[in-house]
Amino acid sequence: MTGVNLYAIFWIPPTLQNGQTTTLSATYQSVAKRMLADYPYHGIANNSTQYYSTTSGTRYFVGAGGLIASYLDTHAYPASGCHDSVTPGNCITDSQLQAEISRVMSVNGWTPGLNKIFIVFTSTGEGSCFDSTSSSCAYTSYCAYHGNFGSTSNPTIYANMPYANPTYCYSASRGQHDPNGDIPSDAVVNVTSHEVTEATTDPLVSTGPYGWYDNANGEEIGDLCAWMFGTADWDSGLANQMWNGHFYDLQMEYDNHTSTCVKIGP
Amino acid sequence: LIFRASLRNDVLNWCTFTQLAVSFRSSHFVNFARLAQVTHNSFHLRYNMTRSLAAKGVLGAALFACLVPCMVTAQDVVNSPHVVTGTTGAVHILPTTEITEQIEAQRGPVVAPGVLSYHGAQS
Repeated sequence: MTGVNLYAIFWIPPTLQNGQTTTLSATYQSVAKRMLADYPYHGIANNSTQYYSTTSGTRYFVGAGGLIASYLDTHAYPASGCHDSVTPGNCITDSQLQAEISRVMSVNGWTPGLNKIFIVFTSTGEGSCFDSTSSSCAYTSYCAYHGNFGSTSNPTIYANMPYANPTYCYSASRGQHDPNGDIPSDAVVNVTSHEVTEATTDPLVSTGPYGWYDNANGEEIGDLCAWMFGTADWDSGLANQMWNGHFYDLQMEYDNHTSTCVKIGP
Repeated sequence: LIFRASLRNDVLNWCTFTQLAVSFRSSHFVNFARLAQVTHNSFHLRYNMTRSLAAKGVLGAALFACLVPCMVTAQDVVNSPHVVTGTTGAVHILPTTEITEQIEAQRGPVVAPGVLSYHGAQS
């Protein structure tokens, strides 16, 4: 990507598809937004600068960016389009998610582009499956994913962030900490950092031209270091990143120069 | 033994063809008798190359090599444990901690140096 301009969409209507009330704590939302605002120019984003892209013979390196906007989307969830066994009755497919992203972009006058990522956070209790076959779903298969739709020259690059349920998407046993004092919040920023970093270095995963990944297993920059946190050097051993005075414990990312997982780039 | 004999036969045929081609190219006038001989040998060579076991292997390997770029792309997208495909295209997932540990157990925790490569357009 030529830049990392981030758009956060908190899709929190009053109720889930089964009629129950949605919830997503203010802390969860504020920590996620703060991490997105802090993300550019720091350790992990710096590491991504080694991964270029080439368009029409010109080589581009990951450029500047930031949290451009956040939007609280209260539009009702569509009828459940899939079956997530962890959230029965409440499930959003990828096509439903794409439709909502397009709608929100239209409402806000946001345009697509190869330097933008639209990140959708959904409520607790709301599940997700890739499609109606429900063969790949949140919590049993994934914690989040990134993709793209629209034209390859002017794509909409997005990330789906179902509620970061700590049972499935947080790993104290692998050394993860909660420097923000709220495990779901610390879980979501870790997962979000993973998706932003991978969408930056391999944005057009659906259509190509593809970016950076491992030939053998199709693993991207974050997959090679997933759920690996290294040493927590900050905040009395609770955080491995300190960005703008804020602490985060985020998975490391792969550095092709040193062939290791790192907390900060070259 | 059959494979080695066939391979030797093909090598000999190829050498003969090369010698004839060189001698033909080095002549400054058209010798129709020589041209006919080269054409005959070339035809004979091609016939042998599609008939012998070794030649079939060579041709098969060449064909496979031509298909590799397409297969690598498709394989990475379709068979990767991180890629999910469907009617809306493909997405790249972050597996849960449990699934990640299963993937690590299969591939091992150590990855090859400089393992990430760029798959976009180079020009």
